[in-house]
Amino acid sequence: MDKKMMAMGTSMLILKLLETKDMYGYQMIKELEERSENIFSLKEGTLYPILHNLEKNGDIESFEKTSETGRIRKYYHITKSGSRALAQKQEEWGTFRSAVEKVLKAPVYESVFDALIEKGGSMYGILR
Amino acid sequence: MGFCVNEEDCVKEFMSAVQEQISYKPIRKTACKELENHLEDKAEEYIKSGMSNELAVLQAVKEMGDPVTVGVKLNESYSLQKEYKLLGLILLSVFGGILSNFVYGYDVFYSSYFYLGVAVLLVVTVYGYRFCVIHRKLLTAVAILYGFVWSGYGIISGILRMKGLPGISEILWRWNADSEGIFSELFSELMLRLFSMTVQFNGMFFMIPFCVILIFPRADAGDKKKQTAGLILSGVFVFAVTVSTALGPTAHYLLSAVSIVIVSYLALSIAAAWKKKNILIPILFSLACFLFLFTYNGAGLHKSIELFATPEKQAVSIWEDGYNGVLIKELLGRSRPVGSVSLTEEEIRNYATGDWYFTGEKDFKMPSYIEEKTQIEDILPQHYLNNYRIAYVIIRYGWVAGCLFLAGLAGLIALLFYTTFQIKNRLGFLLAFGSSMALSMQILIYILGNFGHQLGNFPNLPFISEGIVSIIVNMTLAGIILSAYRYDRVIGEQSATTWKTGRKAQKV
Repeated sequence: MDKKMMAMGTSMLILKLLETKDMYGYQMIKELEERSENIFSLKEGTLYPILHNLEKNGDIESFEKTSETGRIRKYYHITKSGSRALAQKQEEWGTFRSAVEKVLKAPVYESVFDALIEKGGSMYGILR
Repeated sequence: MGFCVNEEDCVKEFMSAVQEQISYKPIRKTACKELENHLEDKAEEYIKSGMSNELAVLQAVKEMGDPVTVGVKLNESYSLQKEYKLLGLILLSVFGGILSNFVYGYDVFYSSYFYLGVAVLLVVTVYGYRFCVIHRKLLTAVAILYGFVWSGYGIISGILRMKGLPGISEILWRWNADSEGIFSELFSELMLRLFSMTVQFNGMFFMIPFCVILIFPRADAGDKKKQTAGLILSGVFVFAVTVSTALGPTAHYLLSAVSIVIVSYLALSIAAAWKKKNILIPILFSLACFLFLFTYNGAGLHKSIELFATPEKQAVSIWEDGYNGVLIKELLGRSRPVGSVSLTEEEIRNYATGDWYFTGEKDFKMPSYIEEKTQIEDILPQHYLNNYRIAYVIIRYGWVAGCLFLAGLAGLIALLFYTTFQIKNRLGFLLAFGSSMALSMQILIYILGNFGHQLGNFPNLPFISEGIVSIIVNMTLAGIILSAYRYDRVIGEQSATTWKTGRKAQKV
């Protein structure tokens, strides 16, 4: 997938993941890979700055949990403002996707005559 | 990344390359902790899938990408923040204070308080929030002690006043005036400054943000018993403040007490994420306290509110605060858009003696020096340079200059709260919010006083009008806001080395 498009939707995907449950960074990467059937593979260098920015904006908050192995993990939790941001991003994404689909589904004509022929049915129709 | 001998070296080398990109050194290890855990998780999974330890770690490190790029991006999230707009406006205000003193004829050394204040501002900005977080227990102890001294001072003073005896402040003033000998004079001066000025007048402003230090850790403790302890502690604190206010002399105290209550309960509700029905309990408790306050100090408060709302009712002689209000209103009414108010010598003499208002009914004798006044400065209330700076600018230089002054003050208040609301860290936000309230309240009370509506004792105009204690207190408050903002991305609520969040570590 194109990098720009990926970046646009990454924060939305992260918020979507956190909508279901609190997660830590590595868990998010694995979950995203699993849900997207390995199409989305986030790099750590991309994930953490996005997480910290979302936290700075108040869309998510973090807390520490100690696992059974004794490793302290930083979990992220979506806030109310994050849920609102997610709904907005989903709406924007829907508009964007439908616009892209409209463009992709539209037939491609080699010339204006081809288009007119298809619309008008025949050269007669054009000339008339 | 260069060549590494074994997996341990590889991880160390990667982490140190990331850390080197983070400019604020104390946070380096903490900021990278999450990344290190991530790396360990990754390696662990490769080991589970059958890879050797060495290969698993090397593969995990390789997949982390370029450490410099990762570090640079992390640095964006973990760097110190600088707030130049607010700092600049505060320094401009200080400069204005020094300049106006100079224009009024004082030498440069007269303004030495301001230089000390600027030093305090810078030190608190650089170290303040860090100190608050690291030494929270010490500050809690100091806040409790201070709360006791402040409440005790108010209560004892109030009881003495109710019995018709002089209050602590008056006793200290008399003691200071009667002292003989250098040690006795110095000691009584110190006590006077410490109790009469620091504790009585400025202590309440200090308590507005610092009650957060007292209440927040308990409210945030995460277990019900400690939260209840936090609630009880805040209740005791609010009660002590209320009793002190009830016996205190003015509505000025009432406003401070209300601010303390607001900040305390804001701290409780933010820290413990309380449900609305639970917040009702402290609100009802506060209302009960204020009912008590009106029962016990109705007369004192009524007098204070009367002075504020209808100063003319208390303007019985030119020595009364009520007369100052009346005179200032009269002079502001005569002020011009640009330039000084224009008065004849006869008018000046009438203002100086109060003849314009008392119309010959006055039964007090004027000292001869008052009869000889000839300048506008001579007819203004005593301490006008401290108490009536805004009114003075309008009377002396016109409404345009006065409005510019007021616009600057409005901008200062807006910037205080704007900076506060940029702070994400809850403890930092609450401290900054309390400080912004304390500073804004002083500015607003000061402005009202300058339009003839004096509320209680005149506060100083923060950063502009002098008084060593007030300058230091207000600079500390401003420093707390700047410092909380500065460290917002790098220091959490628990200690200087934990992650940015305030929640306690939980066992899964």
